[in-house]
Amino acid sequence: MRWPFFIISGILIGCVLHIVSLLAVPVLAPRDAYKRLEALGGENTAILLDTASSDKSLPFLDPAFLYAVCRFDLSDGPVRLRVPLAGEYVSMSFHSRDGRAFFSLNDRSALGTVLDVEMRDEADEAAKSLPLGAGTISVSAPEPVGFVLVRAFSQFASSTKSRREELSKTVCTPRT
Amino acid sequence: MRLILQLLMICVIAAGVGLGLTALAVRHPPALDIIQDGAWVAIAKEGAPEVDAYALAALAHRGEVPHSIADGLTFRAKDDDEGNALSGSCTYMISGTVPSVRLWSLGAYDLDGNRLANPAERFGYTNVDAVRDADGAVHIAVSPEALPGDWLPVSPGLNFILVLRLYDTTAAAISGGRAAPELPAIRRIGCNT
Repeated sequence: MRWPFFIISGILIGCVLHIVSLLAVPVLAPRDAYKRLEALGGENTAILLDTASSDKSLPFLDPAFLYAVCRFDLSDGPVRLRVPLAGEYVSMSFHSRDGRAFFSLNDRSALGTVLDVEMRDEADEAAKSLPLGAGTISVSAPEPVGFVLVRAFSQFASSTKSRREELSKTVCTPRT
Repeated sequence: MRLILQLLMICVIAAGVGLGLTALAVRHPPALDIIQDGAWVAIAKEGAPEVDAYALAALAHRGEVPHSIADGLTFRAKDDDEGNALSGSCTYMISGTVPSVRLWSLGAYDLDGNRLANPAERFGYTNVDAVRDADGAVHIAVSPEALPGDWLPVSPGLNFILVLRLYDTTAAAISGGRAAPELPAIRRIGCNT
């Protein structure tokens, strides 16, 4: 009988299929972070998340923080982000389309009262043709599409409203 | 005809094994490189560019954004210190010292990552509002019923996950030469039957 041959070859092909499908999950997952953010608004725009509603935020966010996001697309040129230092701890984390974290910054890197960042893809970064303003931090993205998550600590309900107002002044816009 | 049947059988086995393993792995990712203290588990490279494929697929399946490695460390606990799943039918005491970091927070979530709605609107504690005793230890009760002292409400009967986040630090900076930092114990006090 050839049964063992069929079963073994089925399992071997199955292992290959497992690796291929595992690598495809971050791109094909129907409800990953990027697709959830897509439902909330456009690219190169800062969006404040509403952590009280699971439809207007992301799962497993820290209840002690306020969050803003920006999905970026650098294929038409650099994108500028300006994040006001709303509260005792503010950080930005930079993610590729598949969610992978490639960089982060916190308020200790800021000059003055904003975190001022210019994101470039590798081609623009390599060309070095675009000058940076003083106090602006340059971040090179490994791929042109991804998102930035901004965190601002806001423990007390009494200060949340003013912190939200400050954080809502976050700007994410294509460089002009 | 026989050949087609045979090929079909190989395909069915391959699809079952391959997709079955992937479906299992995104829900229960194999722990490849973890930092563990008691029931608390962090994935060492979850927030790094070189994150492993299993951790990245599990994050994408949940819709969660990883905590970038320079921004801090995220420890999760699905069980108490004795290995029983955390349940909203029980009361737990989280006690011990939290490593000295710029900022830490503790939160409770359902298994999908939603906050646990409660009338007190209390979803977590941080270094700013958790009470510490003379030794610097926190004592936070986790229970569906209101308790005196620091109390983190959970939903009756619903299993939950505790998440402890340490900000602006790295595992190496707070572990004191050990494999993992010392984190508070999660002890079950009792259950409603």
